[in-house]
Amino acid sequence: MAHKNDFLAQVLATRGGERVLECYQCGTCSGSCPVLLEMEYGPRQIMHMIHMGLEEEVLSSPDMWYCVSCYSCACRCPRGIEITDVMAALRALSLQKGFIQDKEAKLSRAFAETVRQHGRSFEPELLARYYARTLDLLGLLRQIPLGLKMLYKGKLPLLPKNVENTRAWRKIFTPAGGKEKDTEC
Amino acid sequence: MVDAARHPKITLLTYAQVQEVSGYIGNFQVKVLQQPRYVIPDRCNGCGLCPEVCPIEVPNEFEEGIAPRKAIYVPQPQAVPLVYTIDLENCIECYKCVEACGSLHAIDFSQEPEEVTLDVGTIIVATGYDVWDPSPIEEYGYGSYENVITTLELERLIGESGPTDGRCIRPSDGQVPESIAFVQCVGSRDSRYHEYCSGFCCMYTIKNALVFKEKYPDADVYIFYIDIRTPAKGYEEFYERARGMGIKFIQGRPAEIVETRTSGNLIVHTEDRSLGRPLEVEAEMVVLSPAAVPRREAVALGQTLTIPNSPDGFYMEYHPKLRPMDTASEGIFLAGCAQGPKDIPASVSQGSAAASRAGRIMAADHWEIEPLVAYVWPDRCKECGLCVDKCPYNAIIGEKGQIARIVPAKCHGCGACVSECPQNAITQMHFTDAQILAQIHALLAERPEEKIMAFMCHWCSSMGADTAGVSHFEYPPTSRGIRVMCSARTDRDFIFEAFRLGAGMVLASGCHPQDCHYITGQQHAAKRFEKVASALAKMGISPERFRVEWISAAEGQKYARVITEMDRTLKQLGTERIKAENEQTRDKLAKRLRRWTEVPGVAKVLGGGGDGP
Repeated sequence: MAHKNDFLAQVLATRGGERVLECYQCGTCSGSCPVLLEMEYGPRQIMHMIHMGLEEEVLSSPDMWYCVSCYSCACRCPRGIEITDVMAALRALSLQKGFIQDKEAKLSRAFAETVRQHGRSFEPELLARYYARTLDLLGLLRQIPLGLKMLYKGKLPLLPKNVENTRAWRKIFTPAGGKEKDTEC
Repeated sequence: MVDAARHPKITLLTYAQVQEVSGYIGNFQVKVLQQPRYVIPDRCNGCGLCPEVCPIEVPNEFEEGIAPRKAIYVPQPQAVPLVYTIDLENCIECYKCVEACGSLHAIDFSQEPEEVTLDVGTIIVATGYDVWDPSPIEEYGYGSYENVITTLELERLIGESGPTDGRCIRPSDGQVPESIAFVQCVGSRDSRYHEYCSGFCCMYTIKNALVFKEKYPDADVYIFYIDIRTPAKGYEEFYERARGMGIKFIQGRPAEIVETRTSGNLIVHTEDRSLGRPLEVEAEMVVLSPAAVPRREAVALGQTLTIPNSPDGFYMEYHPKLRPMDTASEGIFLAGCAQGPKDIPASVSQGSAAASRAGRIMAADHWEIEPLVAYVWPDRCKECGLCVDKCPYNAIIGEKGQIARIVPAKCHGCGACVSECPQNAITQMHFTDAQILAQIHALLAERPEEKIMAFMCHWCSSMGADTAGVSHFEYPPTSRGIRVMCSARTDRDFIFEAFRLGAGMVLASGCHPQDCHYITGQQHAAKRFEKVASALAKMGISPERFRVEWISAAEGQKYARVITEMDRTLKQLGTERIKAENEQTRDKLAKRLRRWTEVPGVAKVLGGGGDGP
């Protein structure tokens, strides 16, 4: 085991990650998490794995991508740890270090790109961007019945409807975390 | 400690052992054996010239054997009084120290052990604890792996005044470890060794981990634990600080520690319970937190002082909640770890409490005691000496061939001697045979075969019966209770007399064995009741008609259950059968009770009934 716990130091340096060391493993976060069963470890174990410096396991897990940012864990944490922010920080670290393996991450990526483009979501483009990344043709075909239903109810626009001033929007979007030029992941 | 040594009214007797304690509250005589120091305390000024010339070096006990000391030494630099002592076992008598001492003439090889007798009013026992030697836990390898040490050894290694000047080095190669693992609950909370929690180890381990981490911020510090217990004021905040410093707390008691031959490093195997998976941690040094255990001499000293030990070996307090600094012997008090493991604030609190309890007595001219003491009729005593052994408080003076005499100030009024005296030569104030007999007669005056005669001790069983009433636990109205101070006072003859009068059932009850308020009273009672049961069965009383139960003050439900069950048995046996049995055994019982009439007052009670044995 390495003596230097670089991963822990990196998490401590993120916004929200400053207090991860105070976690005493009570389990309130995992107990509050609505998507715990979808996760591989859940927030409590993720906190402990950060303490233990298990960088690869944490950053290649799908858990932070499943986080729906409901903030239940952060609201209830008796140690005042902003777990939702830690999850966001882990997503960023995972991207930055190229650990992401999960398709959830690809969806997030496709979504961010679409929103940056139009200022709001545009489903056909989101689908195109996502499936272009995953090359999951079967998955795309499975979406057809839902797509038809949405189309029938007028929930699926055929043309994008941008926000009024896309240039100003992209200016706002960029400092908030979206990248000017996307790199393939 | 220095203040205590300087106080005009405090005399410190160090390097001395208590040999014998006699007397009672306000009037104790204590024999103390003063070991010879071979140094005259009044002349020694602690200058430290003598150890410089002493050629002998032996392991220093205070430094856990890490450093040497000379044959002329003080146990530790801050020792009070600061007087040197010659360890004659290792001294070669070269007399270089005498030369070094020069004109002070403090060294005196002619000293002999000296017996000192002290007259004291009260005694406070503050004998502390020992640290358990963890070598029996083979899986941790203490004693065979060089780099597995105990907390006290680490204390000396990280202490600034220690032999390494605070440089924490590991034994195998003298290097500062880059990783260190602390293991909690070593020999405590472990049914193989000690079941109790030593209480203060979590805090000292967190302290040591913090000290180590502050000295060596780059080191990896692990604490392996079952539960972290930091309940007192400010303790949780301290724990939080340790977590914040990056000390790794791993929930999981190590299963095994394995030494790496080449490096001397240790692999700690455990289950990381936070992740539910096995974990191996390589640490360059492992520190065990061993159980705090009673002093080696705790039982022997307890016998000298007539204070009982709890099942865990620490001295038993008079009451765990209300009188934690008092003992079963009046005028003797407990402070600190002698009573049970505790940390410094708790020890200081208990010490102050014990001192003030003692001060109350010391300031008084007279001291009132409970009037419930025992008394020997000298003319009836046949000098057999049996009562002396039965007294839990050593309150009876009188060996075989000597009329027994009870020291009222030491007597706690349990009544064990009264019931055990084969001559009925002892009585207890307020609980005389005649008084209890009168109660039996009154309670069984009508339809005795339908009644359950219950003998209950004051502290537990009668309180249990009271709890049953207060808590509204329902039970049949057939029981009739008689309160005695201790189940040891429930005389064999009371039970026989109840059956002779035709009682349907008899219940003998008292405290649970470990809870007896009179140290060994319950044990005497238990033995006696066994004999009574077999005697009754031989005479022809159905065995289910006599029952022995240990019921605590909290067990109201148990009291109700026992009476309900006995009532059911009573109904099942039926009045006819009980009456027949009673008819058949009455004469045999009367024969056993014949001598009873000689007890002062008894004949009068029996005479009133007109059917005395």
